Amino acid sequence: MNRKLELRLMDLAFGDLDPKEASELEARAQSDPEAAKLVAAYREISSGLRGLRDVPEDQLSNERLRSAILEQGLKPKSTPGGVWGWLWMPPVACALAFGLIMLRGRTAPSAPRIVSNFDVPSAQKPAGDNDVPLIVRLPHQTPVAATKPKQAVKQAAERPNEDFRVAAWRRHARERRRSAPEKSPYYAMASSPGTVFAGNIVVPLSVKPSSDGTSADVSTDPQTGSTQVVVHEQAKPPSAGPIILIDQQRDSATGAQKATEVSTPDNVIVGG
Amino acid sequence: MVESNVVGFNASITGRMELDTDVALVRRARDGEYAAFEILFERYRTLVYRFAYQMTGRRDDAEDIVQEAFVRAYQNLHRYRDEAKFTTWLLRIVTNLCTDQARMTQRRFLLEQQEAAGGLEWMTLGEVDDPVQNLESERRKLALRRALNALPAHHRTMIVLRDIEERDYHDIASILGCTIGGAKLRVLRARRALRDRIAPLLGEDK
Repeated sequence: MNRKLELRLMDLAFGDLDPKEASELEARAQSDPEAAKLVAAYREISSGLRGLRDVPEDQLSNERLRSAILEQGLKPKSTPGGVWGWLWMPPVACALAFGLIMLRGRTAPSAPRIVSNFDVPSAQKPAGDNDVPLIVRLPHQTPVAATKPKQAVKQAAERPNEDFRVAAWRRHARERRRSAPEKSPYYAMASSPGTVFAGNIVVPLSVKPSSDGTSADVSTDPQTGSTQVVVHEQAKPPSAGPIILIDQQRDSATGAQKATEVSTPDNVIVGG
Repeated sequence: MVESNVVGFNASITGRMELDTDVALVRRARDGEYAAFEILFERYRTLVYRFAYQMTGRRDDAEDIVQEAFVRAYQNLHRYRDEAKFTTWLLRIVTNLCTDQARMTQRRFLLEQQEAAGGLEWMTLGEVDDPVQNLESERRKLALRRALNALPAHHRTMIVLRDIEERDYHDIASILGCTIGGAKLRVLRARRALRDRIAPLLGEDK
C-alpha cells in the first residue's frame, strides 16, 4: 500500500473526507483486506479518542483567578515600544565604545612608562634580549630614552607583551630624532661637552662622581673588550641627570646601530 | 406603537450583543473594567480547561495552566488584535503553556511512557482474564490516554485539537500560526505516531 492511499484511508477513518469521496474509498477498502484492516484500526483510534472527551469537572473560580492576577500585578502591562523600544541600544553602545576608545587614547602618556622606584626588579627585561632599549634614570629626573636602530625599535615595538605607551614613546623619539636631530636626547647627551664617552658607553657628566657624589665606574673587560658601567646605589642625588647606556656597535648584517644593555644595576630601570 | 417597541427591543438586543462580543469585552477590559474580563473567563474557562486537561492528563495541572493562561491573557490584552478570534488567541497561549509544561515534566512523561508500555503489553497479551466488558473498555481508554500523554507535545497538540476537541483546520492553523495545509500534515503525522504507539493494543503485527 502506498503512502498516499494510507493517508486517504486515515482521512476516511477520521471523517475528513467529503461524502462522495468517502463512499468511493470505502468501496475500494472493502475489496482490499489490508486497506480494510487499516481503516478499522484508525476508526478504533478515532472512536477511542472521542471517548476521551469527558474530563473531570474543574475547580476554577473567579476568586482564584482574581487572586492570581493580583499576585502578578493588577494592572495590565502598558503597551511597550515593541521593536522601537530596542532601537536606542545600538547607538548608545556605539557611543559608549567610541567614548571608551577616545578616553584611552587621551590617557596615553607622551613618555615611556618608567617606574622611578629603584626596587623594580630587573626581570622586567627579558633575559638575554639585548634589543630592549635601556632607559636609566635617577630619582626625580626626567627619563631619557635611548635611541635604537630602526629595525631594532620596530621589532621591540611589535612585541605583544610590551606596554603600548613605551612603544608610543619610542615612535615619538624616533620621529623627533628624524625631524630635529639636535633635539634628540641621545644627540644632546652624546654631543654634550660634559658627557663622558667611554668606549661605546655614554655617561652624562651629571652622574660623574665629581659633580654630586654619584659614582659610576666605567671599566673595560680585557678579554671580551666590552665596556661596563656600574652606577652605585648610594649615588642618587636629586639633581643627578639621567644615565643612558648605549652600546653603539653596528649590526654586522644591516649596518645599523644596535643598542644593547651593558649592565643592570639596581638603579637601572629597564624600560619597555 | 407596537412597531416602535419592536424596533427598540431589537436595538437593545443588538446593543447588548455588541457589548457582549469578545472584542467588546476585551476593549472594556483594556479600559480597566475587570468585570468584562471575568465574563470572558466564565465564557471560555471550560474550553481552555478541556484542552489543558487533554494535554496534561491531570486536573491540577490543567487548572494551573488555565489560571496562568488567563493571567497572561489579562496582562497581554494590549497585544490582542481584534481581527483574530479571542478563543484562537487564548488557545495559542494555552498551547504554548502546555508545551512548556511538557518540557518541564519530561521525566514524568517518560515514566508514564513506561507505564503505558506495560499497559499495552497487558492488553495485548491478555494475561489477565477480565470478564467484565466495561472494565475492559475502561482499561483500553486508560491505555489510550497514557499513549496520548506519552506522545511528544507537538503531536499531542494536534490530536487534541483535531480529534478530541474537533476544531477545524482553519482554527488549528490560526492557533499554531501555520497554513491550513501545514496543519493537515501535522495532524496526519500525529495520528500516525499515535497509531504506531498503540499498534499492539489494536492487535496489529507492527
